[in-house]
Amino acid sequence: MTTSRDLERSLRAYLDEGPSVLPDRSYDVVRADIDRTRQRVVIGPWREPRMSNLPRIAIAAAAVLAVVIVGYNVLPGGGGTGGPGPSPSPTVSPTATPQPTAAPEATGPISLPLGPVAAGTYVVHPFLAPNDSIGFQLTLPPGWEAGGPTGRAPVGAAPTTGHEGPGGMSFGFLTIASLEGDPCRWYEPADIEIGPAVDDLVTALAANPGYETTAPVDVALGGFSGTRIDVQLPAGLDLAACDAGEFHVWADGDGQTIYAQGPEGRFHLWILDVRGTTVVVMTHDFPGTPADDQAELQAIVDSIQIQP
Amino acid sequence: MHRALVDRAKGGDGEAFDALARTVGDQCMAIAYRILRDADLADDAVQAALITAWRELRTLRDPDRFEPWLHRILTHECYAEARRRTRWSAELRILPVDHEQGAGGIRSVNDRDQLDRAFRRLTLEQRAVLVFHHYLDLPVVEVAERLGIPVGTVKSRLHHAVAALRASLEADARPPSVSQERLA
Repeated sequence: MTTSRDLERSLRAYLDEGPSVLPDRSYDVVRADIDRTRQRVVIGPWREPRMSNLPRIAIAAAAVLAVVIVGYNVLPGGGGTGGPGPSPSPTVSPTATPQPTAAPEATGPISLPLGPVAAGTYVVHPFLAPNDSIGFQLTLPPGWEAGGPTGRAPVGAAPTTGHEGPGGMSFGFLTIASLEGDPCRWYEPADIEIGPAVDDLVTALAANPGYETTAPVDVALGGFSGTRIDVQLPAGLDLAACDAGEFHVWADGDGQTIYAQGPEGRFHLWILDVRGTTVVVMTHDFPGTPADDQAELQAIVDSIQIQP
Repeated sequence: MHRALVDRAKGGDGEAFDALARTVGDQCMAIAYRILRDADLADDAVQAALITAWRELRTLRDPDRFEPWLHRILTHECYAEARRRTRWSAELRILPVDHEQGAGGIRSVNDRDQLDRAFRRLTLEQRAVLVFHHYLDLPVVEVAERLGIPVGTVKSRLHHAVAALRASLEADARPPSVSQERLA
């Protein structure tokens, strides 16, 4: 058994031995697990299943909403918000994008739908319980689409022109449950648990050698204070060598997946204390993202008002 | 070939994923066993891989590449399973010899035992490339994709794995050393 041919033949015979059937009980274990395990949701790529249906759904949703709002406005005494509190002025742009047709007039920010959206001001509640009461009001320019888990409110948005590197961008809202110990080897169960305070997350991010971070800076956004810190993927990182070719900095508190959309990706994080809950407003871009696009993204962030 | 099931499973259809798992589970078990050389560990690795696949399915960009994508997850789960059981694995006994010869012909039971010992001395990464290349008959380019490593690394691991196997077999075939003879 010394020639290559002999060795190869023997090796193939050896490898042909052994079990090749997964026991039925194993399928039962898997089935039981998937029935209680949420699928992670990709934010950024917007490659939700049935994506081709999203524009149609969004159009239908916007059309229904428009009928409701217009109908309400033409009714005698209509035009109010119908509820207590301040009444924002109509904020949805009458200029429709090529995709959905938004309401020409609205009595206040409307709920952000999944899929392409018209320019305007929207409100979204992106988190699951117990943080589902936290809302974000924001103004989007034309040409954006919202994305998120099926059956849930959107958790972010990106331009319809693209979110991936080398020039794309996106933003999202998240809570962070833990950090990946090695963002490139995120299959490994090496999560770093995070304490409840803003500083806990900031400190853990800054301490991770898997990426570069900027010096933390105190900030206020949307009426709440916190810390701004940026995460930059390591220079020269070969994403193809990472698990699934992806770089995961954190594990989201609600199970969604957010990962770098290409080499040199940058996460800009506003880590805020919203009445005791650490909430993150994130934008993602690249050194190659055009300055005008970056300014547009920043304008969206600047428009955010948080409703705790 | 599994595209319809993958599409439905990506939409959160557990029934579809269950059906998908049953179409690929046996092959996963075969791969995992041949890397780990232990049926219980392989079973655990396949279960973990399928659950991970369900959880991460929406990150799969091309539904037609489900199987290679799953094999990549499976391989990582094999590595992880072996690491989790390092101490236990170190105490694994050599499996009982199967006296039936494979179709390709291991020449004797002794050869088979020698080969088994030699194979178990390989690293998991070396075993994986051998399994994907010699058991699944995949070309090195496809092995590289399924393992998530460069083609050059696959070639290198194949080369070193075969060299290590040969060295082990030759060492086993060598007569006892002088010192051992003296001790005897």
